[in-house]
Amino acid sequence: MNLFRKELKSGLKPFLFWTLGLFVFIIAGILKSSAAMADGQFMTELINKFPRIVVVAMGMANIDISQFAGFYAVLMQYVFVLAAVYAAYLGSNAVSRESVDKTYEFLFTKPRSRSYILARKLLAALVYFTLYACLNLLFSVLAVRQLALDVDYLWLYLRFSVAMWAVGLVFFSIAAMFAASMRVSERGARAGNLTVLATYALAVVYDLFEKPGAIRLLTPFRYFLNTEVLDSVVQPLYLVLCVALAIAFLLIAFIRFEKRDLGAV
Amino acid sequence: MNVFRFELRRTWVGVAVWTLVMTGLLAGLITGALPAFLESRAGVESMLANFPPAFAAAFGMQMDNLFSFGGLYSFGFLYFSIFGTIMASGLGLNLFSREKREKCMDFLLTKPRARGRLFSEKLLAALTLLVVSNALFIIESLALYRAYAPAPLLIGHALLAASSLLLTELLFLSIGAVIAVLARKIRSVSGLATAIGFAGFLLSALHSLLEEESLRYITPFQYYDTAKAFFNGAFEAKYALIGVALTLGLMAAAYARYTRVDIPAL
Repeated sequence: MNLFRKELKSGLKPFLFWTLGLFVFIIAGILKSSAAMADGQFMTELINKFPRIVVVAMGMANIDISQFAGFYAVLMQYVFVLAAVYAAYLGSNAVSRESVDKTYEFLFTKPRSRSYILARKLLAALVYFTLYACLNLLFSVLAVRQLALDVDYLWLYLRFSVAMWAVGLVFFSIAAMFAASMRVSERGARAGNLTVLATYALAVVYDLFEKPGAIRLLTPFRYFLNTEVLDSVVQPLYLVLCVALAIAFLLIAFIRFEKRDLGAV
Repeated sequence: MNVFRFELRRTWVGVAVWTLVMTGLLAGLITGALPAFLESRAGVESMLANFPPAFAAAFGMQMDNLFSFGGLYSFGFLYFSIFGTIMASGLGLNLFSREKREKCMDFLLTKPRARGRLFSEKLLAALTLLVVSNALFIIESLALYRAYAPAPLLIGHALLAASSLLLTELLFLSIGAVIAVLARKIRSVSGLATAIGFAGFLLSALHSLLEEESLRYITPFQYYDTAKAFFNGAFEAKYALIGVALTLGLMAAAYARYTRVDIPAL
């Protein structure tokens, strides 16, 4: 438990920093939403009839900002990006922080297996990420209360928060896997971050096509589509896929981490 | 010029890969999507014919701008900016925190070279890489513009629009440099660079979503507006000036700090 507590302590400052970003984004987004929605209805009707590529080029893909729920979904698309970058940071940081700080000799000579240590580190990081998803829910509720809407969207926020958690979990475990597989910690971190960038680029490509097909499987950013989450068409398939991917990546991370040569670079 | 040569050798491969990816994406976007994009105009126009004439007229004003090379290019610019700014801020972070990360500050600073000179050589290396990378990007943009845009061509406008990526990257180079010099410890260059690049993107997205004018002052991706450059032939002076002032100010701050800071004993 010492290790777990220490990990929680050292993760607090970055967590607060990322929470600030989430807070500003959600509060500013929601409080200003009425202005954005004012001429939304007519535009949305019109734009939904346009060819897909035109809609994307106008920056209106997957957007139905005539209603609050649609606006919130768009905001969440961007919050997913924020969460993914944070999750990737958490994953690679949990694995390679001791190497970067050159304290690995101190920790890994303790009478505990590497897996034991890594499990505690990953768990502490996961606690923070889960908290992050909870805060997303909390901030949404608090900000929307200021708007005094007559419909209660609590389930909508919950669905999006769960989706955000699942998507983040995939990036978290991919980053952990890369960090555990590469000897040079900067390379591991770079691979994890590039995955976020590449899958996001793929998500934009996905938007460009009328019938994107299998691209969806390659980018976690499109596992939970706005329209599906809005209509509460639950996609248990993708939720299961997220968890399965996470388990697989984490398993590889543990196997590689047990065997690898620890170093200070 | 040893530091200059050293930094160049260490970083040119990364920048070359980024440049390759970005030029590839640009070529893919224009050759892949532009023809279909321009063709879809007819469909949109016939649809607009069913709307009240006043509305169609107001919307039609934007049609020429939207359905053009510049329209699609400006759309893509947002995404090139993510790539470019991650590269540029990463470069700033990497170069100016190298000795700090590798704990060899004393090695470099005890050499018979003033700190200002070391800083300048690092800066020169970063600038060289960014300028070469963007020269390729700009040449490609202009070539595609000549090949795909219908006459009349406004090469000057296109040149300005294409160079806004360089200007945005320079700003992020300064941001990276100032963070590298001020931070006590840099654990991961790529992590920070990704966070900075996506932060710029998210601010830009928030700005376009809310259409809140005051947000634009803190939205670096829109200091040098590509669409404005394409269609009006100039950036909006107010925001462009903020961008330039920030770039120079942050770099000056990084210089001042780098030349004065105490080096902790190891």
